[in-house]
Amino acid sequence: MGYRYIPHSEDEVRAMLQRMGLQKIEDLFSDIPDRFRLEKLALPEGKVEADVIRQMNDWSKSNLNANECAIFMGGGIYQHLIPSAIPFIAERGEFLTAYTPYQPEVSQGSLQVFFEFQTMICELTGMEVGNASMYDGASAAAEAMLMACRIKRKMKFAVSEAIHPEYLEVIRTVAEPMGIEIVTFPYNRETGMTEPEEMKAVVTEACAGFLVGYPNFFGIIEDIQALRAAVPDALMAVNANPIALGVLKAPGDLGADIVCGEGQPLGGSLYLGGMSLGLLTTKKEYIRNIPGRIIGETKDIDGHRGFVMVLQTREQHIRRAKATSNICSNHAHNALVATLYMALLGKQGLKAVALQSAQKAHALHARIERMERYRPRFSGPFFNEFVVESNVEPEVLQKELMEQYILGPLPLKHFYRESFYDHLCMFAVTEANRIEDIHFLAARMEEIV
Amino acid sequence: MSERLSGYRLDDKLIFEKSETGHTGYDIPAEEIPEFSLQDMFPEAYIRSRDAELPEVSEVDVVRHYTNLSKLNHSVDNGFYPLGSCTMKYNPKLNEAVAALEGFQQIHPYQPESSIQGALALMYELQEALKIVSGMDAVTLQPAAGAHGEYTGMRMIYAYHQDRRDFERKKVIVPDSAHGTNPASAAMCGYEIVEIPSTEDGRVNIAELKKALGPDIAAIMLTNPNTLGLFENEICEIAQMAHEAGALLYYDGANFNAIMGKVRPGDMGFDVMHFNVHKTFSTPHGMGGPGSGPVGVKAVLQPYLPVPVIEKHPENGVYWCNAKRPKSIGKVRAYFGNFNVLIRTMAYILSMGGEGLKMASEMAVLNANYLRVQIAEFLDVPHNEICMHEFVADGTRLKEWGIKTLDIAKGLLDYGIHPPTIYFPLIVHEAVMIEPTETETKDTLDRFVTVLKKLVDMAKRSPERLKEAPTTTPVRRLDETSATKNPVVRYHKKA
Repeated sequence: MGYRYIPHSEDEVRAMLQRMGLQKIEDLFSDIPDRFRLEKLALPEGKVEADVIRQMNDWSKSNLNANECAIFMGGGIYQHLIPSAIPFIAERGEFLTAYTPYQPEVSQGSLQVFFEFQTMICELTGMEVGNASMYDGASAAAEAMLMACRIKRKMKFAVSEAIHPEYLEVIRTVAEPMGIEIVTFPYNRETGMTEPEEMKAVVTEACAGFLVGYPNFFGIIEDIQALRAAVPDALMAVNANPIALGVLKAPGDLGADIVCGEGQPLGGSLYLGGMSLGLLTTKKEYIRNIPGRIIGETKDIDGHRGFVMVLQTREQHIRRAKATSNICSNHAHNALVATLYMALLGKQGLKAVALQSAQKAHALHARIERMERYRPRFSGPFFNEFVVESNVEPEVLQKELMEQYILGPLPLKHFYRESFYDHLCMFAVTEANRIEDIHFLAARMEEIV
Repeated sequence: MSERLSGYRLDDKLIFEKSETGHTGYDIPAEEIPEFSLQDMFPEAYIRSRDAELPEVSEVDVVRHYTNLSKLNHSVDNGFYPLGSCTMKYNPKLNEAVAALEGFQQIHPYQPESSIQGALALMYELQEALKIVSGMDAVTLQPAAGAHGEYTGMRMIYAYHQDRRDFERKKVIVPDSAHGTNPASAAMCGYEIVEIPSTEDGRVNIAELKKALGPDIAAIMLTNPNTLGLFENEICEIAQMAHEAGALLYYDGANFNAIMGKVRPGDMGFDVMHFNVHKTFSTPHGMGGPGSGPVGVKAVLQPYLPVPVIEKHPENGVYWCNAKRPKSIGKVRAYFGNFNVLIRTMAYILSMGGEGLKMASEMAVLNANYLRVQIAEFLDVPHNEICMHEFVADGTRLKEWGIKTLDIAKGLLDYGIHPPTIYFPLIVHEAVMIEPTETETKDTLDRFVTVLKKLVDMAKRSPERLKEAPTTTPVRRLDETSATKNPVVRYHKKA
């Protein structure tokens, strides 16, 4: 029959049909009304492996990939160095081809990985409980919003205008049919930081809570402690970059009630932003309000330690329409990658990566400060990403640099209609950017007219 | 090492319990820039003083720890996995090889379109292929999972009714046999759920449906074949009734593996559907994700698709992202979707072609019926007629010997077989939902029947022994009740 993933021989098919007293395959499909029955799918014939590889290679090669370039692009997805051990372990079939750990006796591998993942993310964010991951940073932010509204039984939520614009879009998409009103509060256009007083004016008593970035979309480290103090009764949700938490104080230690974030920087590849995982942690008192899969420790009947899915009564397969969320999965395999990354880097490694990313970003920032046609736009403290005002049209700058095999910066016009952003662009730097690449970038920027 | 560990197991420690100060498993370039100290860069109040307690372990320790953990898992790669509704088919290794190509792996979502033409081409061609397979008019690849696809589809239905200023449609009809995600996804779009009972023969009850339909109904969500594995043969009438009442018809693609190349949701009158590519199109389940849940729509819902939509310029063949769509529901996640999963999906579709996909569905249905006929000889199959890709048996009669479906499931574990889905659908009490998929050989199916029969015999002859199962797994039955009562969801370093 010739389809390499279908193992039946013609004799076997005949024998199987015979066992059930049927003549032909078509007898199995007699329930399908004649008028809908399809003769043939208008797709090309199947390809042999070699030809699939050839087609995929053609597509792959027509992309400019970051390994051929120096990349200074971020906006939520960052290129960090990835230890070689990670893909080898992660690709093991026992991890890759297992499903949700519905049968814990034969899923202890997955379950223990998720338990370790939850522990690591709680440690980083300074929170007590976390789930085993969501789809991505944006959907985790939307779930944080829903969670805050559930806890406070309020139908209004405030979001910083300095949050990732795509995250804000997702939050709006999710809020609208639920009848939740989303209001936004501005940031100071000189510092790039949220002003507690301005935020307080928006986060009224009707608001369940508010969401700020740490760092925010523009790379700026918000004074979340001051924001917390400004509206003590609202829930504070913080969208954090997990790498930054290697050197920055944990949001949980600064008064956060919910921490969300994008986990890709923890060992994930760029993949067009597709290798994402949403992080979501909270305080113990809110454990029943957190959506998604949660793993807990227990014992088997012989008294051995083991792990199981817990609090499943929050979930859709039990609660159906009354579940905390419709989410039925997690980005488990990406969570495994993040776990491997955090295990390999460990306590010291994550600090080192965070420190070096920040240092290299500050080195580029200092260099740009001395340039004539470019100047950093915001004065607030930043982690590894910053906004630059450019006399050169940002899209032109990006295009010219791409010809020199430099990816970045990111023109902010791409996200905002307001003219304020027309000449702004954003640079991200990590430990993966070598110092010579930073010099190369700076030299090219100065050449472009 | 403790002696009590069963099997060939390294130890039973957590990675944190292997931590030794000074051990490391990483290195990065020696390019620190001392002139930027933490104090120079950040306000004192924001510098971390308490370290995150990540483990300190060497690379070899990490590799051994997780390699050994992997061995505690059952997976498609090491055995039969007939988990109903989950389509645990074989995940081709070719998909992994091509997904790892550098030109796919190392591209940033904000690169200029001109520098990611190959990626956009792949996504565009995948959209086109899914349109052909489903009979839909347009496809979005953004949703991250099946349930996320359901949400996206229902969110578009919401936008459609709002746009028509038809504000009274506040309810969604879902049959009682539906997946839990259906009512949950509709509820996340603000809808109230009207559940309608199935008929005796396990299909949609047309009379009940007629009663429930009205000007307050926004949509009907159906799975076809349904979760009992039965094809809804009155789908034509259902679609007509829905549309006459002004409601839209949602197709849950969870069971799409039964009908590829045989019949298309678009032709049956469905207005919107999601695909579970991790089921139907062979991408790995990865312990629960990432999957991907593309959504196909008829023209009537096309304006509401999430942004961006990948398009191809008709003249110059250039691929581009259309983000300026005024009626769009907006974004359901950041960036483009689970691109690494979409690559694998495309690899599978290219490998199989139209005839291959059809063959996959035919063999999936053949395998299911081959099991059904044999299993019905010793276990009740409430709707014992020709099924599609799966069927549901009922273990209620074993209660006579004090045995529950759960016990049979645990018994299978001792034979290296992952149990079928149990206790779903809810309309069969001691449900055993079996979906073999097309990638299993006749030998595998025969062995499954033999083992299952042996367990049913054991249930009758020595039920006490069966209740002890499993005995050969890394851990035995776990106490889930107290785990939920007093949840311990993270490790704390011992003082």
